[in-house]
Amino acid sequence: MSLQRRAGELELTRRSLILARPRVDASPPVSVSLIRYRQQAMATTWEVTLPDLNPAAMGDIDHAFDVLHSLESLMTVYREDSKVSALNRLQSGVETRLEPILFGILLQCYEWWQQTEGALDIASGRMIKAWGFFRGPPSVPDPSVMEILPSLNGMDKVRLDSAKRSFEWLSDGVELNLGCVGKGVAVDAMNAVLESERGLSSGLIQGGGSSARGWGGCPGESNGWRVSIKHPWLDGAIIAEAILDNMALGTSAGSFRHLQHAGRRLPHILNPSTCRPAEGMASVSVLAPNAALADALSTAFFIMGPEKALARMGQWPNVTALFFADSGKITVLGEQPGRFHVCCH
Amino acid sequence: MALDLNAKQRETGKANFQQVTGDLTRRGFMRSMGVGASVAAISPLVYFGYKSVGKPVRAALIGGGDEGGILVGAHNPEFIKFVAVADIRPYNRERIMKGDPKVPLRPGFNKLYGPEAKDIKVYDDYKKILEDKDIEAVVIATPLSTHAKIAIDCMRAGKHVLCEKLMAWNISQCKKMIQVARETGRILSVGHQRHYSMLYAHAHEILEAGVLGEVRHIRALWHRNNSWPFREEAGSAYKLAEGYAQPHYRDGWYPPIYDIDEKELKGKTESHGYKSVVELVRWRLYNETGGGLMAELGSHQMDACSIFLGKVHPLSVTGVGGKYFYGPGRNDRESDDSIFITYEFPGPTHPLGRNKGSNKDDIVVVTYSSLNTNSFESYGECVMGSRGSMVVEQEQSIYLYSEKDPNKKSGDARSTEVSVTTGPAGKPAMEASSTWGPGAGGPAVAAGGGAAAGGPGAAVSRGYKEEMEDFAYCIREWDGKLGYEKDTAGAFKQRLPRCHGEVAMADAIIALSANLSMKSRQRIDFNENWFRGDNPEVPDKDTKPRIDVG
Repeated sequence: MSLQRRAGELELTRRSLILARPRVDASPPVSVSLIRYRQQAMATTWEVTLPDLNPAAMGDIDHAFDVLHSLESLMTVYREDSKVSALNRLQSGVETRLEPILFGILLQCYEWWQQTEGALDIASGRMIKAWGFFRGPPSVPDPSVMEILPSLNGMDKVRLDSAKRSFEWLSDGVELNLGCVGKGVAVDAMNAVLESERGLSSGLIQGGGSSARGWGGCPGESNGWRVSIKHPWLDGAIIAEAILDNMALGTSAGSFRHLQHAGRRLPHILNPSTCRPAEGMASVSVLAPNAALADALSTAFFIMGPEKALARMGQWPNVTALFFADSGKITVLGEQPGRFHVCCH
Repeated sequence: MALDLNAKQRETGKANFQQVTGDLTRRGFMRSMGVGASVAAISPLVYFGYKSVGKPVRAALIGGGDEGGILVGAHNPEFIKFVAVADIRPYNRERIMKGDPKVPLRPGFNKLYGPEAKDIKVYDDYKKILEDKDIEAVVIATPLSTHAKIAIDCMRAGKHVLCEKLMAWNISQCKKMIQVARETGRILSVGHQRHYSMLYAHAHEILEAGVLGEVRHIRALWHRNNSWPFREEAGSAYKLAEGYAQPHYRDGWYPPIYDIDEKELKGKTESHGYKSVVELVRWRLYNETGGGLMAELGSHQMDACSIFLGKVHPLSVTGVGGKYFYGPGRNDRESDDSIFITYEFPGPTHPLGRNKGSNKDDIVVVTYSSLNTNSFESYGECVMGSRGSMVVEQEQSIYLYSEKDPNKKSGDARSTEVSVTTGPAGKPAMEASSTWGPGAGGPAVAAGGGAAAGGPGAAVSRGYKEEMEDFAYCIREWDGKLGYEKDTAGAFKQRLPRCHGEVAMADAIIALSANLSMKSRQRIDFNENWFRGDNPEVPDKDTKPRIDVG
């Protein structure tokens, strides 16, 4: 099966987007109550939503949030005492043994780095710092810095040994930043607690609006949780809806954090191959079987754009991606493009 | 209440309350809620265990002032039909019929009864009501110093009595009222409306379920700011009387003296128990006609605190208070303008506590303050337990918050917020976007957690309506011959209103003992005999009431 045939493509101009018909809602207009539990983590709001009558004890929810906080403590580069911060201080040639969970995350990211030909790169901490997207304020780096940045990127600077579960820098001065996958990883871990461990039949978990995963049904839906995707620049408008039925959604957009430069808004998502803000896309959303993959691919696809992404889609079964270009053009790629209901309201 | 709550935290606290009451209901702990967290509460009628009455009770309102107007506004004519009203003041006689244009809670009889309002007999003296055999019951909302005399006269005339709080000016009068109720076989109910508030019923059940852990402190307050300059109402239908000190500050306890009252009553108030028109109109400010902030405001909230703790009596009280703000030419008064009271209450395992245990150290400290010079915090009660806090605000809202557990790994702002959102089916449950900033973002479905009780958006009944409904129901069920007979277990054989004489007397003792402590600058230890209707011991035996109750 060729990639072309597998990928269904849907193109709309901004004009036809506005004229597109709203989705016809077949479900009866009954009222639905949802219980939402929120905590702050990773500098944003996290939320677990359950159907009103789901007899979840607060204990289950607390445990899921505990897992979130412990993953943040492991992965964050905003705290000196995190494991990833410790790795970033490590000199090259020094092997260190990792806990299974962190090793698993890094190994997975290594694979994605290969599959995306470097677009998804967690070894890009120095580039993020150089552009001021770490603690801010964002600014264009000096040419002298820009010159050395390409040599400080890339998972090829990392050696992971599965037998020893060890990590080693092959080059000095490189740093990890798991910002592009951390939320998805945590969403999946919380999902494991609530669905597998605690046996809750239905729920929706999200971190900061950019990472979400739903399982079971939401009351009023035949199955799954209906979510909408915000328009990247029109306040209050949405560009599409999707149903999360044992499915995750990751979204990368240049809207919340960005850099104003020479009269242009540059998104905070940096392209590791150019070491500059990725261009062309305003928002990319990815439906995938797990939230870490959805997160990783939304970042990678934002950098790659639909054309490059199309050539590589075959590597990930069950993935659908919606690209919203700066021009307003929408492209949906994947085996089941109909998973995104593109709409105008 | 609860100084540092922002709007979002309030929503969180309300939702937590919804969630907890829902959880308790599902586990069978709570009788006050239907099945499911967001299902509307069961009706107060079912909860408080009364039924509709066949024929409404024919009643008279004695005292048509501020509180009388509220009671008229809240009453349900299917239970109580007012056929007469008595008030000394012409201003009040007019207002109770026409209503108070500025206060929707005082609509007046004309609006409520329509053309039938003409049939209401309007008297200038309650004694005319005593002779009216057609009247079964009275609702008394007169100045405190007259409660006992009027209630006793009415019971002796064969009428059932619902008397506004505070029950009486001193405890000897309370005991006399209880005694006369027994002798005459009449129902005596007192208007501490929190006994009929579903909100307080919920709060009580949350406490009973132990959700808050060990409760060591309840902080109650009612702060008002009555320090702003008085401005005469533009276009008021009433002329200010000349030759009287008119208000310097806006203050409900220091209302203007109107020409209409002054003309009719000047020199004629003594026979009614007031030295002057001023004392009649501003009775709350004088020691012999009122009971100050404790009687007017604090008694409600101490009533609430004792409900929270299982209707127990306090062990001691210490108070500080005084007239620190008002003075000559500036809304002067005898009563204090600022009071700060501390009570010791028995906790559940104390010998005098709810469970009659043996732990004398099980003490709950209740503090109360009332001011006239600051209104930053709204009035209410905050119950502080080892596992959570419950804030009851303005008899309208309950907020619930859990304590942080330091044994759990913690970042900042870890506590879980809970909210319930309701929206049409088929709407997205979230909006995806690039990552929100801290604290930003939110659900796609509009929040609609609803009021704490009584359904979304509805104002919560403060209990006035239910208090009068149950009073009517008790009257219809009442057997005068059986009266206050008790069974072998010491319980009344007949149904009585929830705040009957002995319950209300406890509230009066709690309030008036605080006044005694402030006056004597001494700690007062409570004596259980004070709380017994048939025991002559009282905390305030040296006080001399203005009106002899005979």
